[in-house]
Amino acid sequence: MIRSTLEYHTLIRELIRVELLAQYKKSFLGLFWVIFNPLMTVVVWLLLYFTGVFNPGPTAVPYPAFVILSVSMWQLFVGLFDQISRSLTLSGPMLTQAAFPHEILVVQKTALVLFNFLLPLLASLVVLLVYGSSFSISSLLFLPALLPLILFGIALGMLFSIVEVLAVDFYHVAHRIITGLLFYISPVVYSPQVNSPMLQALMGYNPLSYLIDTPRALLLNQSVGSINGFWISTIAVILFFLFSLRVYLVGERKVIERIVV
Amino acid sequence: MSGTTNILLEVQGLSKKFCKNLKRGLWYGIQDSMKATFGFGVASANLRKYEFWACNDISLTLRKGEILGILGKNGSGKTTLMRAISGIYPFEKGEIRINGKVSSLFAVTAGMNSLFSGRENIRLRAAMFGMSKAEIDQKMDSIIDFSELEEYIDSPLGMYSSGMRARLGYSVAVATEPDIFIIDEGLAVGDVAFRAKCFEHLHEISAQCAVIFISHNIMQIAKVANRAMIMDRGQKIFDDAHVPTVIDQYLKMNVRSGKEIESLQSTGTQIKKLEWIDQSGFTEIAHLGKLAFRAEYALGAELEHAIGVVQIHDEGQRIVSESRSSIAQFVMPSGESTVVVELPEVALRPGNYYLSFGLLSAEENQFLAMRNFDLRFQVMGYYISGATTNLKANWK
Repeated sequence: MIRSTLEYHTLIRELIRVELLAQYKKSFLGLFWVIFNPLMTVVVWLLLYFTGVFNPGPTAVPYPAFVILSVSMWQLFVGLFDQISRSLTLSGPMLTQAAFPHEILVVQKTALVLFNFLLPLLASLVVLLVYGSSFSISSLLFLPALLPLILFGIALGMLFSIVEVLAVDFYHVAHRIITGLLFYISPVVYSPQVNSPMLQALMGYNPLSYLIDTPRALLLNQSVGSINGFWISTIAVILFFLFSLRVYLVGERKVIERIVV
Repeated sequence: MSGTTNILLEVQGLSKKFCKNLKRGLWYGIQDSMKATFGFGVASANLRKYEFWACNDISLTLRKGEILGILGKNGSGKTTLMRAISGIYPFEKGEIRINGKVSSLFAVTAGMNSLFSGRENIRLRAAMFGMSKAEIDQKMDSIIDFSELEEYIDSPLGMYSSGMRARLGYSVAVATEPDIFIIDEGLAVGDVAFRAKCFEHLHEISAQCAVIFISHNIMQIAKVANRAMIMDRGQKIFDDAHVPTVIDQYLKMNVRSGKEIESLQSTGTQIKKLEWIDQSGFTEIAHLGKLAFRAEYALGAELEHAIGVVQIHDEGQRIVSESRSSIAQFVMPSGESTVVVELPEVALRPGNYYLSFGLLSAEENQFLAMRNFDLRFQVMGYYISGATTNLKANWK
């Protein structure tokens, strides 16, 4: 994968450029759309919060700042899964016409999602500053601590890119679970100390809880909930990534001919 | 040209299978992917239910300087073979040895984006062929120059015609300077002038590389190729450096059964039988050869006479020639009768044709009866011409 990335870096750059520009070429609002989706999610949860419909539990920073940052991180994870998992099918016409290593699509989509994450992240930091949050040296660990979450999104994306071609029903079910169900059992819009023993128990078994809470706590200069949980989840994610990589590299050539274009 | 030093491509016993049933194919894909992931061998040599060999035991050697034209009906395995050679498709059996770089032109617009300009799409397409930024920058002007699209190069590709896109696609592909250049119907949509330029260019570059050219158009193959091959049902069935021989063989293979469309019935008029004078069924003639057939008919009782019409159709069922008895000042006798029609110089280019015969009212404004595509024949030979018919001319 590294060799392919180096060999085809021009193609990766061109694909990123084309996709980024294509997103906004016909749009008058341009980059606004990058933050529109997370913004909508944030608005919904803020509405629920301020109307007293739901209690997110104790948060380290005022809830609006908390939810903007958390939703941005969630969108990063889901974006990686979603974009990479659909990359083979969406690039189908190109893949059945031109010979190039297909793993560069994973690299391209990852770069694209990371680029799209920059604006919401920046917005989150501004809101945090507006709410009077201060950053410390531990905040610098935010990005390194975010890597396992990124790796998890990529791994799920690679695995399900094969599944999406071969077993579309299963893919749709999995997509709903990952983007929907997992959202509600991860500490995204509420804190890990949310007032629900059942939810807390579910979050305890969910590796995403640690992969989201730890970098967020580091950025906000808070104590990490469970450092052991973070490391165990990280190791599990690395193993899962290696497995997914193998599935992808072995499977992608077998599924190309089955992409109906 | 021979010798192992000039060999650019060697295909040995290549077999590639597909599944006819989509859902079954997906299930096999799941099985194969899981087995491969966990290190279990995938039984590739045998066919499972609904599977078939799209390419079956194909061997092929291609040398520098060769322009191999591949003929074959749809589904004969041509594109599958080319995709396997290009590295797009994995294959179950066999071996492919490539000495150099392969560039393929399967679909002229593959990977291009309509929202972007021709120039931007050159960058994208060239990168897809593995070219670096420096190479693309260096060759940009020559690509634009070859495509003859200077005027439109900064306009969005969406505004380009299919012919303009073909120009762009071809220009980028040749800029990669491939050792093996595969063109799979890539020039089917280009305009005549650009196609002629490409064919000339192919001859120029073939001294330094090998070209595989797939086309349904035998005239293009005849013009471009210095070797030709026929594929049928996944197998290579003919391969020869004498292109006319291969084309004749291909034409023979592609003779379809003539189909009779229900005759028009009017006032009791009917055409009972059509047959070749000297043969029944199928006949072969040389270019400018003679055709003769006999028609048995019965005119309606109240009709005194009628006009006979002979129509020749090509494989696309287009009428390429017509002859009326009124031109020869001949009228079809009334009642039950037989007429013999001779076509002394059939000036059609090589190919398969169908003959229809009809009876027109005396005023030539109404068909009384018609037998469509009832006789079939083939014009043999190696006559290169883009035109369907070739007029006889006296040169002085």
